[in-house]
Amino acid sequence: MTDTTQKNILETRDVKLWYGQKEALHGINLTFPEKGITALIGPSGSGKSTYLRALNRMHDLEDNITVTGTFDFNGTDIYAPTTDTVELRKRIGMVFQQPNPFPFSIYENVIFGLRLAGVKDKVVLDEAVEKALRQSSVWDEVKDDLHKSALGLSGGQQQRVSIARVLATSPDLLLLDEPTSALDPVSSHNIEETLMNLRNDYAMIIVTHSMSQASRLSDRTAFFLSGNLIEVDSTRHIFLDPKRQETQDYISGRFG
Amino acid sequence: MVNNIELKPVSEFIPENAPERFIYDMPSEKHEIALSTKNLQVYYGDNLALSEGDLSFERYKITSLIGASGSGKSTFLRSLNRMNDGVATVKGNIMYRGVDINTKAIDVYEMRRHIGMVFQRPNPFAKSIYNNITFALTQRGTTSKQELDEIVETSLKQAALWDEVKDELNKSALALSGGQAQRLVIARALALKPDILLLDEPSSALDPISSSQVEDTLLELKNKYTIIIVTHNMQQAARISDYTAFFHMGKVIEYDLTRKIFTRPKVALTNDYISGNFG
Amino acid sequence: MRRLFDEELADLDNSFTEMGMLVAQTIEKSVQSFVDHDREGAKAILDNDHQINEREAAIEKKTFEMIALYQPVTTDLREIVTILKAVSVLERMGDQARNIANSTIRVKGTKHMASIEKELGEMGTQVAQMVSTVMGYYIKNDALGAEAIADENHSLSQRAAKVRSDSVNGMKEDSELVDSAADYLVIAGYLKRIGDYTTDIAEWIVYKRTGKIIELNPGYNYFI
Repeated sequence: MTDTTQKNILETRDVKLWYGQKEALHGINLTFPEKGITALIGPSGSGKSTYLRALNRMHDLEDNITVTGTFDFNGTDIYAPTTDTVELRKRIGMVFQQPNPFPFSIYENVIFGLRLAGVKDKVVLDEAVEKALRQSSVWDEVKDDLHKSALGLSGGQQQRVSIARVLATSPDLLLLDEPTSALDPVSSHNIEETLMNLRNDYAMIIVTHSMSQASRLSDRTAFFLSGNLIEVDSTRHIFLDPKRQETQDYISGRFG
Repeated sequence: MVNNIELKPVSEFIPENAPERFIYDMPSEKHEIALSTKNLQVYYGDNLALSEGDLSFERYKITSLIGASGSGKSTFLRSLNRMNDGVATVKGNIMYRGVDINTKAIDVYEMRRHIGMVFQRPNPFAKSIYNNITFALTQRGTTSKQELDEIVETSLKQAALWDEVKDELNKSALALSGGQAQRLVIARALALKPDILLLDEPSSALDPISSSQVEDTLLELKNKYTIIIVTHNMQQAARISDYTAFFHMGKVIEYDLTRKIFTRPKVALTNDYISGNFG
Repeated sequence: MRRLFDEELADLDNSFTEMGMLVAQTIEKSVQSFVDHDREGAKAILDNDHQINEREAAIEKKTFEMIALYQPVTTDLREIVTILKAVSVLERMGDQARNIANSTIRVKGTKHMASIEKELGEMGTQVAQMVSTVMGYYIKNDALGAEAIADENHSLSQRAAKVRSDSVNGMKEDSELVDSAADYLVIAGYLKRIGDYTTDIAEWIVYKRTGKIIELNPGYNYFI
C-alpha cells in the first residue's frame, strides 16, 4: 500500500513531448513511490502510453520526437546525455502488451539481459533464472522445461517469462504497457497475481485500458486525457470519490 | 419486479446437490428461437474441441458466450456460420428457420448473408467507407446508385457511425479510428440485411470509449437482429447480453438469463469463473 | 488476484460478526440494568453506543469500497450486500438498547412488579440469545436455521403480549404501578422490535445462501 512516508523513486516535472510540431504531452507532473503499483488510465490518445515510454527513453529509437522536462530517477537524470540507456533500461524495465519472447530457450530468455551485461558464471546465471522465474510465479510450470523454446509456452506463461526477463536484471522500476490486454481472463489473472506478489518489493507503473484491473490491482491511479494529467490519487479515492468530473465520467463509462 | 418476494419454505431454495451442468430450457411457446444447435461436435483432426454444445438462441436478444481460452466458445461461434469449413469437422445440426444449415447442400455464401460475422480486429477493406459497405452488394449485382446510397446510409445509421462519417464517405476506411472501423465493419455486415449477427470479441482490441460505442451500437441493433457475441470481458457480457452461455473444456456448462448467471448461477464452475476465481 | 479480495472479504465478515456479538451483549446488559434499576449500568450503555455506530459506518464504507474496486458478482456480491443490509439492522438493534437504557435512567415509578420484571429480564436474555444465534447462522451460512428464527420470534411476541396484559391489569388494580407499568409496556415493545430485526437479518442470510429474497416476518401482530 502507498505510504506517505515512502520516499519517491521517480519524480517527473513539466514533461512535454512533441511528435514533430505537435505537442502530445502538455506538461505532466507525476511522482512515484519506491514501492507499489500506479495505474495510468485514460482513453486512446490521452498520452498515458506516450508518457510511460518516455520514462525509459523508448522514444529515443524514433526520429521526430522531442521530450523535455525533469526526470529525476533516484538522483539520476534520465535524459542526461551521459546516461547510458542500456544501464537505464536495466533499472527501469519494460513489459509490453504482446508477450515477446525471443526464439530461444526459456533459460536464455531470462538471462538475456545478464548475458548482455557480460555475466558468464553458470552458478550466478542458474540462480538468477530460478529467482526471476519464481518471482514471476512461473517457475513451477516451467522448471523442467527450461531448455525448451519459450515459443512453446501459452500466452500467459510467455508474458510471465517476459516479466522474469525484466526482473533478472534487478530493476528498481517496472513499466508495464497493457500487459494483459492480449491475454484471456485466466492468464490475465495469473499476471495480476504475479504483480500483486511483486508490489511490496518493486515500484511498478502499469498502463491499462481495463478499469476493473486498475481498481483491483493498483495503489494509485493517474487519469490522463488529451495529453494532460487530470487527476492522480489513491485508487480508492479515484474510484469512489474522484475530484474531477472528467475522471468521474471516464471511470463510470460515460463517454462523450 | 418489486413484489418479487417469495413465500415458500426456505428449503425449496436450497438445491440438494449443485448440478454439474445447467442448460436453461427455453419454453418454445414463449420464445421465438432464431437459431439452435443439436448434437454439435467439432473436431480439429482427432481432437474433440467441442463435445456438448447444444443451445437455442432467442430472436432479437443478445447472447454472450463466455469461458477461458480453449473452452470452445469461439469454435462454437465460428461453426454457426460455417467459418470452420475446411478447418475443422463439424458434426450435428444447426437449425435456422427450419433448415439444417450444417449440410453440404447449403450455399454457404448465401447462408452468410443471413448469418453475418464480425471479427475481433476491425478489418475494413482498403477502399473508401462507401465502397466498404457496397462491395458485397455490387458483387451480387446491385447496381442502382440510389439503392446503394440508401443502404449505405441505413447501415451506417444502424451502426451509429453515420453522423461521424457522412461528410467523408469517399475517404479511405483505413483512416478511421479503431472504434469507427469496428462500427464500419458492423455496418458492412448489416448492409447485407442479415438476420443474425455473430461477433467474435468485437471490442477486445478497442479502448474503453470505442468499446462503449460498439456496445451501444449492439444494444440499438438488438431490436432488429439476433446477436451472438463471444467476449472475454465479463462486465461486457453482464452489461449488454440477455443470455449468457458459459463454456468450459469443450462443453456448455451453464446457459441462462444473464441476470441469473451474474447473481446466482447454479453451477459452481460458473460461479468461480465469473467471480475471477481461477483456482 | 482473488487473494487480496478474499482477505478483505474475510476481514469484513469478521468485523460484521464482531459487531453482531457486541450488539447482543449490549442488548442483554441494557435489559439487565433496567430490571436491576441500575442507572450507572444504563449510562455506560449510552456512553458506549458510539462504538456501534462507528462500527456500522466503517463496515458500510468498506462495502462501498469493495463494490467500487472489485465489482463483485454472485456469491461475493451476495455476501457483501448481505453485510451492507444487515449491518444497518444491527445498528437499529443498538438504538433499541439505547432506548431501553434511557428508560432506565428516567424511570419514575417507585413501586415495581417483580413478576413482570422477571419476565422482561428473561425476554432480554432470549432476544440477546436470538441475536447471537442469528449471527451464528450467518457464519455457518445456515439458511434453514435462519428460517427457524421466525418461530423463535413468534414465541418472543407471545411473551411481549403477556407483559402487555399483565401490565394493563397491574395498572387497573393499583394506580401507584402506572409509572412502572407504562415503562414495562415500552420496554416489551423495544424487545419485540429487536426480535423482528433478527428475522430481517435471517432474511438476508437466506439471500446470501440462495440468492432469493424472502419474507420471514409476515406480521405477527400480537403487540404494538
